[in-house]
Amino acid sequence: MVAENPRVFTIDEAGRRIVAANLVVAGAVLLAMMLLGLTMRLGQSGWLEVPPARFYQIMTVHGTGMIGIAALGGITVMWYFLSQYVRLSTHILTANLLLFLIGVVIILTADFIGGFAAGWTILFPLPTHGAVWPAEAAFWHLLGLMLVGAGLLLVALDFGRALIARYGSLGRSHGWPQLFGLSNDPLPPPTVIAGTMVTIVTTLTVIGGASIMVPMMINALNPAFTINPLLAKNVIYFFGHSLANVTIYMAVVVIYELLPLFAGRPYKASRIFVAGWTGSTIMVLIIFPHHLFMDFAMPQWASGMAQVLSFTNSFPAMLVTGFGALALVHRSGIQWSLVSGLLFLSLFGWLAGIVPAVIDATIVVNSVMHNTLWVPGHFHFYMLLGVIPMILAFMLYLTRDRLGRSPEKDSDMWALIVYLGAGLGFVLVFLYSGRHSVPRRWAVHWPEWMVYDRFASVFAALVILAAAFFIVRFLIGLRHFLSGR
Amino acid sequence: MLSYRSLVAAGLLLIAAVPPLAWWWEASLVRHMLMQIPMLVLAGFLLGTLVAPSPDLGVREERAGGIAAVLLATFCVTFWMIPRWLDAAVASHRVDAIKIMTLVLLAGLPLAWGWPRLGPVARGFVWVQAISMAIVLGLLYLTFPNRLCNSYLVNEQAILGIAMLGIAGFLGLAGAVPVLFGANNGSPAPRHPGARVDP
Ligand code: HEM
Ligand SMILES: [Cu+2]
Repeated sequence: MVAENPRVFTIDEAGRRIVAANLVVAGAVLLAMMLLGLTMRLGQSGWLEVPPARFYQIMTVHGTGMIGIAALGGITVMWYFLSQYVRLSTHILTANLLLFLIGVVIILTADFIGGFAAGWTILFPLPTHGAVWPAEAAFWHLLGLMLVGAGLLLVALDFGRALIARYGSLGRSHGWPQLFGLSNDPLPPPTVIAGTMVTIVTTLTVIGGASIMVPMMINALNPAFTINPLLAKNVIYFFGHSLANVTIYMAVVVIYELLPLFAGRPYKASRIFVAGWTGSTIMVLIIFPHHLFMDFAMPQWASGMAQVLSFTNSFPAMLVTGFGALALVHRSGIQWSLVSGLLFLSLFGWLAGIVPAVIDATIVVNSVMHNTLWVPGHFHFYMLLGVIPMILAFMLYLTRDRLGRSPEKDSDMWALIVYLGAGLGFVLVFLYSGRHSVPRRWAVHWPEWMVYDRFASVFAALVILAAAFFIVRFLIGLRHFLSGR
Repeated sequence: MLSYRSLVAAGLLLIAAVPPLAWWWEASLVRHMLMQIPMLVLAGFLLGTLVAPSPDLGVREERAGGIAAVLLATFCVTFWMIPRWLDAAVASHRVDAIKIMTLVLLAGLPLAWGWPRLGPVARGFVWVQAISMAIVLGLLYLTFPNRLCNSYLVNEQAILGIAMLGIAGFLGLAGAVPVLFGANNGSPAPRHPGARVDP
């Protein structure tokens, strides 16, 4: 056993309870959304009768819900580890969960009963001119989103408050004085640097989201108020791209904090690490125009900029994390366990998932791949195999594998292998279908495409089994965690 | 000090609210929204700083009261941003008098009382809210093709829209600069139940 000096994370009882509640909700919603995903795949493969209107409602709930729990799970991971360095408020984390739950109930009602089905991207003017659903359904769906966003904003503001109280400013907690050679103080820990980035990006994301959703809600109530659709698309993708991406940056601290336990060495920040995160902080916010390559009215410089930046965007934080992790475990005699396995799986999913993303962010490719299943292929790659395993690793670490010392059962390792294998199969089918120009967001597929859909359905079912296995394991160990041992 | 602030407040009220001048502000949408209304709120705010007792932040009720006061101010300002009521204030002196009184007494004054009682998270929330409100108004005024107010022309709407976006940008910078580059030195690591126990 190498981890002689395991760092002990502590948390008081109120914190334990709210962290546990967040993770239980995240786990339950994750499984429910996965089942909805499977339903869509079964519908497309012709194995299950899913009426098109229902398909699009499911698609909307699935996309929104998944991004929602990625954010909820991610921010819980971040909260737990950040609270080791700065004093955070459990009340605010509780308020976030309440706002999340109220938002979810409103969204589910608006979508499944109200019929709202404009996709998670809510691109104007579809939500309020869907024809199939009343505009009030759009109003309520947007209101639900705003509540979820308000909760996230509260937590981000609390992070900001605590970081400033401890470090003086967000610039300092980001390590900027050291980066620019203005200070020789030791750098803040990686989690603090990442937490600063998350604070900044989440706040700006919510501002963007609210700025476009409120006019759309007004439009839903009074169609005489209109918005310029191209402007709306820009703001929506600023919001959507940044929100989806920041979930990774929230959850990734689980690697900085837990991998050292298994490798027996600390994960230290360096100036390169700070530079990498700074690059990502800026770029994640300005590359959204890669969603707008097909909009001829966009100025060309914006598309050009987005293309160049999309190549470089994710790399800084990803590379410093990837290399940092490799250096950490290199010849460390790492202890393999379910948790460390999930951590590596997530690192792989994140690194590999970026490749199809960047390919799609190339204008010439995008002209062909745009709106094919290539797109869900790339984001399911780093969501299903990146973010979600990070959150699962955190859940399992808390509840059973505190120091990575417990011997693993064979069934654990099997679950890991199934999750990786089937997850990879599932996303590769998406990518492969995309390469063969199968469109995304079609409820009904041609018979020629159904072979792919059927393979995908089988893979999806296996992923769900493995995920359910992890979550049940988490629930079983929950009492142990809550008792504080 | 005391008389200085009340003098400024009185001056602002005189310039913003007394008839011939008040009508001049109200004759233009931009002057009405971006000059007269802020002057009225500012006057109320200055008066408020004179009468509000200094907060005792240890008391929970004080913070809750602060939130309520700022909410009241927000609702009051929002109400007078609605084109219909802006129109009404131009059309009727009585409504205009109500507008002036409420902006001073129900927006500026409670703001001065409530703001110092808000915790940092609540302040951040209000600030962020104000930024997105300004963006929302900016977008609406910029892109709405028809006249929103009966009393004002369309071209003024576009100017107001741009000004609103400018205000959003200003609020954003004014919030971001101290947060990112503030000069305080921070405090030592916390010793509380959630604190890391270093080996
Ligand atoms: C077992 C796991 C999953 C299955 C079976 C699944 C299945 C699907 C399917 C079939 C679609 C629609 C594809 C189309 O356009 O035809 C979809 C869309 C989507 N999924 Fe998943 N998914 C899974 C996991 C996830 C995860 C983990 C996330 C994110 C954390 C996610 C986020 C999304 C999003 C954002 C969309 C786009 C919705 C839209 O187009 O508006 N999914 N998924
Ligand atoms: Cu993007």
